[in-house]
Amino acid sequence: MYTFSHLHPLSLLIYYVVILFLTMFHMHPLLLLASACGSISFFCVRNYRHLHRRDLLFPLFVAVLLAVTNPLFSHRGETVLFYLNNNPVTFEAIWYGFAAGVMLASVVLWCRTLQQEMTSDKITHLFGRCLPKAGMLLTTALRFIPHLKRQHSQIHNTMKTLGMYSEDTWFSKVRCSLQEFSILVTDALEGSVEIADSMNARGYQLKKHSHFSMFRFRAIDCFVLLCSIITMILMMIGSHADLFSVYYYPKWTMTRPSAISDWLCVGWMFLFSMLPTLIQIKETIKWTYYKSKI
Amino acid sequence: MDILQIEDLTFTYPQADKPVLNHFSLNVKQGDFIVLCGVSGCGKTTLLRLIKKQLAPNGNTEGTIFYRGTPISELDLKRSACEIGFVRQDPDLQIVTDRVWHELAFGLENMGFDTQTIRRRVGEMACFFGIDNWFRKRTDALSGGQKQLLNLASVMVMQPELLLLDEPTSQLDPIAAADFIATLQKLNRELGLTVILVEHRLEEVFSIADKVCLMEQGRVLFYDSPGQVGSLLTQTSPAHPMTGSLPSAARIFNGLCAGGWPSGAEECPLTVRDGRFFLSGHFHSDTAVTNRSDDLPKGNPAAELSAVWFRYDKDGPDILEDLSLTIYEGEFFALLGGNGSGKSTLINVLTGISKAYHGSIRFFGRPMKSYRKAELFLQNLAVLPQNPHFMFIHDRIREDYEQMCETMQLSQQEAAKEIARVSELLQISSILDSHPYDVSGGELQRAALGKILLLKPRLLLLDEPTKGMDAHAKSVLGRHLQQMQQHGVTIFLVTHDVEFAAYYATRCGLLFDRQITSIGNPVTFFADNNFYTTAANRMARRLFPQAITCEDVIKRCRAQMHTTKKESL
Repeated sequence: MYTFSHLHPLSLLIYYVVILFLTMFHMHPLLLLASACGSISFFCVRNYRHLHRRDLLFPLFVAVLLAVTNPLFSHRGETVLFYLNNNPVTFEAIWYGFAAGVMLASVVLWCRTLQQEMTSDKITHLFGRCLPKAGMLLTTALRFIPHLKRQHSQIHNTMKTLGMYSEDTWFSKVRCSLQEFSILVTDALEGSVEIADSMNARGYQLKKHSHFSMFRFRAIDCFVLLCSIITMILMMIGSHADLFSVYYYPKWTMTRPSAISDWLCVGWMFLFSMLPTLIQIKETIKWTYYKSKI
Repeated sequence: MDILQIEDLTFTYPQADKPVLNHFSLNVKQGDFIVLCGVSGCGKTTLLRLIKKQLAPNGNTEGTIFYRGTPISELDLKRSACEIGFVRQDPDLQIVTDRVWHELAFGLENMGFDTQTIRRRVGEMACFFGIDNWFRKRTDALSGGQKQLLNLASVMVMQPELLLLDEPTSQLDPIAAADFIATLQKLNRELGLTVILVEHRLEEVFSIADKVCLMEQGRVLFYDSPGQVGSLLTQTSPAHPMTGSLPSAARIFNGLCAGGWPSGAEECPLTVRDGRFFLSGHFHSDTAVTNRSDDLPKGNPAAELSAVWFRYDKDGPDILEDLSLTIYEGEFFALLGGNGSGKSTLINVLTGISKAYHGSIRFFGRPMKSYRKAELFLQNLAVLPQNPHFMFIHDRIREDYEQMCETMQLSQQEAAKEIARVSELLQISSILDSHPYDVSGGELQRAALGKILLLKPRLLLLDEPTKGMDAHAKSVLGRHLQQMQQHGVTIFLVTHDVEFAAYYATRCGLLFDRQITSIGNPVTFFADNNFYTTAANRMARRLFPQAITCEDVIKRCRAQMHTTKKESL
């Protein structure tokens, strides 16, 4: 099954850059609605097996929280609804707070799926392409950290059995931790010499390196990349033509799509936000069908 | 054709007065499987590193090493990286990347191959080594045996002609080690790969080698077929420290030769099968019971575990299940068990680092809970961990000892006396002022043992103390442990090492399926087992079911030789 996670890291990265750009730099309600729908639906579809109620309540909570708190701090806006402690509470402030809350929630949800999708191997692949040295450093670090963790727990256990940590004072605890740290550093330095040997033995010193990865660039990657680029262009045209301009203060005004091309543009944005969900659903249905034939 | 020619090689490390390699010459034929052995410090590792250009140590080199006619110093770096593979001891510290597939591709990336070539080579290598199932795993999720296999595979993708291995199995458990050696043999037989293997566990590798090179003080002592080396070693120097490392069959044969058996009449047996054939051809059955005491110890219990249950996670599987065990004061208890059977976990449970969720543990009659925080570890219980490096904080071993004496609240005079006593007991006075990373594995372990002896323990727990040690270091350790036992220290060790347990323990137990399944004195314990027993016992069990060590077998054979001599007179 080729789901969204099976995309090539490059397509994945570009998609997320564009969608985050779209969400963070536009306060137009229609675009926010599109991004919110996209992020929530993709999060749900992707994690439907381990979905908690709080995952779904979270975006709502953030939106309502900002809608409630923003008017407490911001008293701008024309339409005064009522007074609280002699301060005006305006419709614009509530509406702006809500919009900002929706934006924040969508960004957080997009980032959560980004974190799930961008596993370490994809990150190292991206790095390795453009910055081979940094990519190698990242790879070795990723491999070394679990090793150090394990070593540290062994050192800690050893220290305990040597009668360290016998006193309960803060000072003695700090002293023991420092000693553990010193052992760990010595061990790591000693180990890094071995690793360097192992790298050199396999020709790391040689000049001409190539880069290998398990990722293939398939048609769907091209498609996602193309969609991302089109969206980017549309966003630029849109901002140039004031297609998505919106003012919350002093009075809420936004450009409403009028021409058919405007609606097409908004529709495209909506589809683009829903792209991960659509791919996920399409593939699930397709592969469930294939499996049913086994 | 010779793939490797070493001509009159002398190598001296900087600031050393004696050369490590002294007029060393050796020719290796293409496709040979060579085992290189010798006592620790005889220059095996230095020799291997000199062959691999990238790893050659600094120092003064005289003489030349030719690889296919080209001197190593003039060899192209790329050719050296590709054609000469090198695998080292520690499985953990050779892995460079975080994913298995990336590790396999690493060398090929450095060679600048294109993606298609790398994909194909990595694929075929993964198939050959049976890595397919864990191909996409993270490297830190692998077991020790898998890691070492990965190290071998990621060298093999470069398609080397010559493979150098420096004690590759010393950190592995016996089953993983046997797997690894079998893979090496397969590579040698099926691909015609030339292998030079430095090894001190000779039981398995001796019989599969084409030639054995025995080194002594930087020279070649013998370079011949394994059987010949076995016989030659006994004929020329029967007390050589390497005789202890020979396969059990060869040791028994040599023991008999030393006792008057006409040596040279027969080829020295190397495997259990040959040894068995040899014994049954010349000796008759003798079922007499050995004089090793058969009764169980009747001291006070040093540690009692009753109905202990342990698991790491709430929802995880039980590691120990309803385990009960009593260790008596003054005994030397060896707990055997396979990999992952929970032996190390049991040690952690005993020390309280891992808490059993059911069951009680008592030390010297008192429940574990009644000991205050560190009271248990001062003068009662001491642990020797698998990695003794972790026990040393300071730059000199002596400083660590002094700190330990401070913990014990000894005065300076008392401390000096204690340190002198311990270092004399363990014969480590000469290394007290060295850095812990500068001494050999066996010495470091003795130093670690010394450190915990300063705590005056009554019960000593050891976790795999013989890991990575050669036969000589093992026998030194075994003797020291026996000495401590005579001084009244109770010893409990967990190990894979069947031979070590058979030689030194007074009681053995087997941990299997989360419980202790069998327990008894070594003779009955091993005589009752069919597979999980020493090589000597497997060889002689038809004739002498009660003989479990090489010495036992030799003693009984010699007794028969005497009687036949008397009869013939």
